[in-house]
Amino acid sequence: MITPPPNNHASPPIVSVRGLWKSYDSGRIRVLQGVDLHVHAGETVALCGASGSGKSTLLNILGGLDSPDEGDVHLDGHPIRTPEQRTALLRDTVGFVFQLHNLIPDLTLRENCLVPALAAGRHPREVKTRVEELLEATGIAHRIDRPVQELSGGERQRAALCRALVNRPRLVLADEPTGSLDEENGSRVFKMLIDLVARESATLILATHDRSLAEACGRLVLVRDGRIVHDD
Amino acid sequence: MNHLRLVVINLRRHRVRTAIGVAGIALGVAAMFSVIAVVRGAIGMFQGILAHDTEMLVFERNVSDLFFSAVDDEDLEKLRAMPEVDSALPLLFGLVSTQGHPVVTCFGVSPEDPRLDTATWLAGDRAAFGRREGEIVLGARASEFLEAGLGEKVTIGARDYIVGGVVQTRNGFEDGGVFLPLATAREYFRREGVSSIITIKLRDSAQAAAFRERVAAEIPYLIALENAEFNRGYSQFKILRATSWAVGLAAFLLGGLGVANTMVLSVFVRIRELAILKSCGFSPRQVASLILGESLVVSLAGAVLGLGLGYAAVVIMKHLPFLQGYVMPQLEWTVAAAAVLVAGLTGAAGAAWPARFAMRIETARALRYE
Ligand SMILES: Nc1ncnc2c1ncn2[C@@H]1O[C@H](COP(=O)(O)OP(=O)(O)OP(=O)(O)O)[C@@H](O)[C@H]1O
Ligand SMILES: [Mg+2]
Repeated sequence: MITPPPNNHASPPIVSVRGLWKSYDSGRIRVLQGVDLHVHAGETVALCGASGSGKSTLLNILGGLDSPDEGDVHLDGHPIRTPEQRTALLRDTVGFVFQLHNLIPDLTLRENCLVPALAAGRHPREVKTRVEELLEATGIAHRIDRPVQELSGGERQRAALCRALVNRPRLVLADEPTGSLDEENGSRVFKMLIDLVARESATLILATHDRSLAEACGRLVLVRDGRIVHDD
Repeated sequence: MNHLRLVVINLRRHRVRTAIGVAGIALGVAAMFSVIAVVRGAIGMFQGILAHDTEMLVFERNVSDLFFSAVDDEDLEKLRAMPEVDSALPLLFGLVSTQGHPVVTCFGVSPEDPRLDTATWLAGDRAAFGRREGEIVLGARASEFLEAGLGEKVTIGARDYIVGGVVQTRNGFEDGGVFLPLATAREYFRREGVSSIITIKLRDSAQAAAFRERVAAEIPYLIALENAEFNRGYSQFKILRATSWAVGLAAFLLGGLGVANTMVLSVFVRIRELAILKSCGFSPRQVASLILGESLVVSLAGAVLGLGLGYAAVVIMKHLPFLQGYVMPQLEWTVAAAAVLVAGLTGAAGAAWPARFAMRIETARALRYE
């Protein structure tokens, strides 16, 4: 089972936000309305809430894919404000897994896993064994040199998992990572995600509709209409 | 796996589009290369006529075309008497049209003209040039297209002459032209006592400036120029060069638009993929470098292909019967390098806006759309 979050609140949270506001369409669509959230290293946090409540938006802002209208994201206590800082956050600290695998067609499985390494300016040789280990752990190593469009849906999602973890991110952000899979495949991928994150001692924030997945996480955060209404 | 791989897979995905982009640049480069090669060849040939082992040219000041220049014999003698001058030879240009051939260049030359010595006499006797009334000498190609050989009658413009010799030169203009003894040419063109230009051989090439000043002072209606000076300043050459660059650059511009179009499409159809790269940590600059790289691969491939095509075109033109001799391809590395450089710049320019667009893709928004 999952170890409970270490309540070591003496050190600053790995990621935190306070007073986060975000709207779209020049303020007509209010998505986040004053979100406060502090996540400490090693936690596994499930963000739950109805469709449209703002989970993905929050996750995107936490990971540097999007910028807030108001309020800052802090990484290890330091604010992330500029586009350059967000790029660095994505490159050095965060690994994203999406509902859709978002792999790059025509590249092989291996090459897809090398994309984050390329972004970080690392030589493929440096991460060769790392990639192979991850593919081994997710059971798709035998497909390593095949173009990703040959993989099944479940395999693709596992590939996306491997890609997210290549650069050893401290923070893994998963937005309904099993949302596009059937139940069996979904729970397999979810188990792999949880295991890998634990093995790497990474921090996980997961957005999901699925109660059973949420309960497997150490901490449950409920989002409603862009506000956090429950956190334990 | 490197950035180039990402560039290449995208080029391979859209082969037809890539091929069109490459072809656009290739045609631009080929057009530029062949037009410049032909024009430079033509200019080189004309220069060859003017500078035959001589250093300077004297002709009438302020004429736009040497064919209109007139230097009096009196002044030719003055030139010959100048202390800097070793030898001064008159040359009279004329153009005639003769059945089926709208433009035949005629050269009125004195019997001792060295270009007749360096030419290969395919038929006839060098020593007899200018000695026999009504005889002229044809360039090898002129002999072909006028269908006249040694001893035969040939019609030049309104008159009939006898072919006294056929010469092969290394110069296309001369090969396609007619050599007349100076006196015959003057009579035909009604330019008694004048020459178009005087080519000057100096006793010492260091005396060029002194000679030029002397001519300006003593015969003010004439101008003396060193060959290189003339080449730079002659308006006909300038027009030719400017035209060739303009045609070449216009061709390039079209090629550049092709690349720009390729790159715009390349970015627009994969906004999502570029957003994925960004979500994996690619910086805007890295994304832009992919677009730029793609454009450069297309442009440089086009440049290489275009140089090959241009070269082939020039070689073919060289062998085309009706162009024979007039195209003297000069395959200069400077032109090739310039073409590659311009292709690279064109590619970069064509990618500029698409790359900027790619840099500004909003990752989260782009990932939302399928
Ligand atoms: N780029 C955008 N432009 C306009 N509206 C947007 C944009 N992004 C998100 N929204 C809106 O913001 C609201 C929250 O979206 P978000 O994707 O964060 O919800 P969610 O909680 O992840 O929902 P789901 O569970 O369906 O994934 C939605 O109403 C959505 O339509
Ligand atoms: Mg969502």
